[in-house]
Amino acid sequence: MASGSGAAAAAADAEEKESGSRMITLTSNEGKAFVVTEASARQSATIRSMVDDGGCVDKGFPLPNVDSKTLARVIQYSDEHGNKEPHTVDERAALAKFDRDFIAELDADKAFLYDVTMAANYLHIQGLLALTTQCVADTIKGKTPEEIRTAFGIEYDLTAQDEKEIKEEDTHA
Amino acid sequence: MKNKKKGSRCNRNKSDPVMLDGFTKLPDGVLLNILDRLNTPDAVRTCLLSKRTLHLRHMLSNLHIRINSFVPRCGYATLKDTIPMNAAVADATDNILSFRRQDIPLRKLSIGFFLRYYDCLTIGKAVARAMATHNIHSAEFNILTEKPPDYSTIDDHRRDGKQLMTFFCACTDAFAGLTRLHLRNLKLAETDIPNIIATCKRLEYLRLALCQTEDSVLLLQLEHPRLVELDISNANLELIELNSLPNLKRLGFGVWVYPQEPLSFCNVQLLSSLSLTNVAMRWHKVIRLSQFLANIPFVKDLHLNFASEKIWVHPECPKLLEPVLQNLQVLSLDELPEECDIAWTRFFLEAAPSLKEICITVWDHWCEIETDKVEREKQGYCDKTNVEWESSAPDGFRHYNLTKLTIYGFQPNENFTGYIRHVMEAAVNLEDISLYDRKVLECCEELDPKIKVVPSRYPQTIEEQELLRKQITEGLVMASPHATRELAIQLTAEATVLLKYHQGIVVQNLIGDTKIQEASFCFFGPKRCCSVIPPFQVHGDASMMLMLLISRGLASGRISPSLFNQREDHIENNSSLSARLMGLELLVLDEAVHLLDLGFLTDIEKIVDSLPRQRQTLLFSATIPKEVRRVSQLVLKRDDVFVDTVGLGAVETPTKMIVFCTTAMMTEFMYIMLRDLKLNVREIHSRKPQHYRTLISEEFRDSSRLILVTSDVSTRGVNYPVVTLVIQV
Repeated sequence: MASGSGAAAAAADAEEKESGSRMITLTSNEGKAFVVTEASARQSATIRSMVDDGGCVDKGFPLPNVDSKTLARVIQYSDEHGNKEPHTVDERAALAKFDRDFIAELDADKAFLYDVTMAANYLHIQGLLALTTQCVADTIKGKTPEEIRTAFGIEYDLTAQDEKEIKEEDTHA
Repeated sequence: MKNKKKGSRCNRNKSDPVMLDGFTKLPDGVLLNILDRLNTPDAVRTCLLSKRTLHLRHMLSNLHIRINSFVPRCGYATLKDTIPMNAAVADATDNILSFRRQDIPLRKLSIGFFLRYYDCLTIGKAVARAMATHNIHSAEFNILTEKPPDYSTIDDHRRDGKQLMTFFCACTDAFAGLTRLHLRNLKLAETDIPNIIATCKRLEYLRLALCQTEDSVLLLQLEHPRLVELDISNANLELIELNSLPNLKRLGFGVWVYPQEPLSFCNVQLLSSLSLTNVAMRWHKVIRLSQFLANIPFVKDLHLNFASEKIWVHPECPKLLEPVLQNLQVLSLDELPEECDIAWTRFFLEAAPSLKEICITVWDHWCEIETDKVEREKQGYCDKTNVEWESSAPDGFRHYNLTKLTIYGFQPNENFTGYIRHVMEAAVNLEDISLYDRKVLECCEELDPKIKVVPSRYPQTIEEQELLRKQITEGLVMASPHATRELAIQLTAEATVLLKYHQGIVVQNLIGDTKIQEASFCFFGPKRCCSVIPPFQVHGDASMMLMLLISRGLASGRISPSLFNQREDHIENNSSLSARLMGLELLVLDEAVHLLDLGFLTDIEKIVDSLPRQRQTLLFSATIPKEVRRVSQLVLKRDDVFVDTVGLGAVETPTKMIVFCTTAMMTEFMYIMLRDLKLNVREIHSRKPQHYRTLISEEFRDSSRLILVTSDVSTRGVNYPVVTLVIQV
C-alpha cells in the first residue's frame, strides 16, 4: 500500500474514531446525568443538530421534558440502533427482534409507552417514534369505538353541540 | 362512521381506574402520527371519542379508504353487503374531503371501490373538488370489479369495461390528477388504454391486471412523461411498444400468449428494475436476452419467473450478454421447475460482472401446475427439459462482486451442491450463502391427493446441516486458490469448537486480505432454525487471553508481501488492535522455516516489536537451519527450552515421504526425474485436474510406501498419517 493513501486512511479512521467514541452527557429533569456515546445520541435529530452546530458538547444537554425512567429506556433504544449498524441478515434480524421485544415490554405499560412516545417526539428519534405510534395504532385497529374507549380509558365528554355538529357533517352528502 | 358513535355512554364508568387516559394527553402531532397509521374510517371513529381529539378528524394527512373498513358487525361480508359498503366508501370520501382543512397538505389519498356508477360519480366529483382546493401529493384509485376474475365471464368484463369508461369520461378532471391507478378484470375498446394514459397526466404508478382489449387489437403503444412504475399482467397482446417512458424505473410484465418477445423498448433510459413472468407453452420461443435487453442495458435488478414450467430464457455466451448485463446487480430466478438442473443459470454469473446477489427459487408449485397429461397436451404445455449449457468462461474464472447467494427449495443433491461449489469457487468475495427448504403456501395444504409430491430431503437437524456443509466445502479447500485462507478459517472454526467451554477466550483470525472468502452458511428450514457458523466477533475485553498464531496461513507465498504489508499497516494504524495486542500472552510461530523463506523476517520483527515482552513464545520448525536459530534468538527468551521430537541420530528408513516444491513446473520436473529413477512416485499440482488430485491424495493417505511430489497449493493443511520424511525443495 502506498504510504500516502495509508496515511489518509489512518486520518479518516482517527476522525471517525473521534466522533464515534466521543461521550455526551444527557441530563433528565430530575437532574440525573446519563453518559452515552455520540453515535447513540445522534439517533436524536434534536441532539444531532445541537452537536453539529458545535459548542455545548462538553457541558452536556439538559432535557427538562424527560424524566430519568423514560430517558433510560430511550437510551436503551438509541444505544442498540446507534452503536452498531446492521450489515448481515442475522444482524438485521437481531435488531428487528430487539425492536419487537422492546415494544412488547412497553405495550404492557400504556402510561410509560406514552412517556416514551413523547420523549421520542421531543428528541426527534424517528425510528422510536414510528415504533411507538405504530404500537398505539395497532391497539386501535380492528376495535369498535366502545372497545377503544375502554382500552384507553377515554371519558365521554362530547357536548350536545358537538354531537349536533358531527351529525350535520355526517348527513351532508 | 355513521353508525358507531352512539351507545357508548354506558361504558364510561366501566373503565379501569388504574388505566389513566394518557392517550388524549398526547400532543396533536403525535396523535396525528398515530391516526395516519390507521385506515381513515377507523381514525375518524377514534377522533369522535372525545372533545380533545374531535378537531383532529379534519387534519388527517394520510387518507386511506377501503371497502373492508365497512365490513358489517358480524365480521364478514356477502355479495349483497358490497352495495351498502361501496356506498359507505363514497359517502366517507365525500364527507372527509369536504370538511378537511385545506391548509394542511394531503400526503396520500388512496381510495378503493367497486365500479358502481353512482358511487364512482360521488367519489370522482369529491376527489376532483379536493384536487382543486387541497395540496395533494399522491392520489390513488384502486378500482375493483364486483365479480372476482374466477367467476366472471367475458360479458362481465365487457360490461365493467364500459362502466369504467363512462366513469372515466364523467370525471376526467379527477383522473387527470391521479398519481396511482390500479385497474383489473376489464375488457376495453381499442383506444381506451391509450386514452386513459393520455388523460392521467400526473400518473406515476399504473397497474393493469387482466385488462384486455378486444381480440382484434394486438399492438399497444405506450408513452407517458411521468410514469415511474408500470405493471401489466395478462394483457393478451402480441406486442407492447414502450415508446417513450423517460421516467420509467420499474416494469413488471406477466404472461404473454404469443410466441415471440412481448415487449419492445425505446427511450426508457431510467428503467432499472425489470420483472418478467411467463408460463411457457410449446409454441413460445425462448428469449435471447442479448437481443431482448439490447435497448435497456441499464437494468440493475432482474427478476424472472418461470411458473414451474418450461425455461424460456436461452443461455448465451458472456461476449454477447455482457453489453446488456453489465449493470446487473440483483438477479432473482423464481419458480424454476424441480426436474431441471440449475447449472445453466451460471451464465448470468459469467456475463454480469457487477452482480452482487443471486436468489434462486426452485419450486414445483403443484396448486398451479396442470397435472392431467391429456389436458397438458391439449393446452400446449410441454415437458420440462434440462437447459443445455456449457461454460464458456476461461479456466480459473473469478467473479469479484457477488456477495450473496440465496436458494429456496434446496435439496441435498449433486445439482445444488455442485452449483454452490461452482459459485463458491468463482465468487471469491462471497459472504453469505442461505439455503432454504421448499416454499409452502397456504393453498398448498389442500392438494389433490392424487398428486404425488416427492418429500423434501432438506437437512432438518443441525448435525445433518453440518455434515452437508462439510460435503459442500470439503474439496474446495484444495481447489481454491485461497487454500491458505481457507485453512486459517478452518483453524478458527476448530479453535472455536475447542474453546467452547472456555468463556474468556475468543478466537479471531487475522488474514492478509480483509475481503476473505468467509462464506457463512445459513440453513433456514421452514422455521428459520439456525445459522451454522456464528459471525466472528472481537471483544475488547482486557482479561482476554490473546494468542497470535503466525503460521503459513499468514506467511506462505500465497499471500503476497504487499497484502502482508497492508496487514502490518493495520497493526500500526489501528490503535485499538495494537492496544489489544498488548494483552498478548502467548505467541506461536509455526513452520518457522517458511517464515524466513519469503523474506518476512523484517515483518516479523515489526510484529514482535509491538508485542509485550512478558509472554510465552513457542516456535515450531521441522528443520533447524542457522536462520531459524537467528529468529529464535529474536523472539524467544534467552533461556528457552529446546524440545527435540525426533531425537538426535535417530535414523529411520524413509518409506512414505512428501516432497514440497514451489511451482507446478518444478513439481512436474521432480516427478518425471524420480519416476525415471524407477521410484514409486505420485504428483499433485495445479496443472492436474481436481478429481485426479483427490484420487492421488486418497491413495497417498492409505499407502505406506510412496513418494508424493507436490506443489505448494494442493496439499497444505491436509493431514496424511505416518509420513516419515518431509523434504522442502
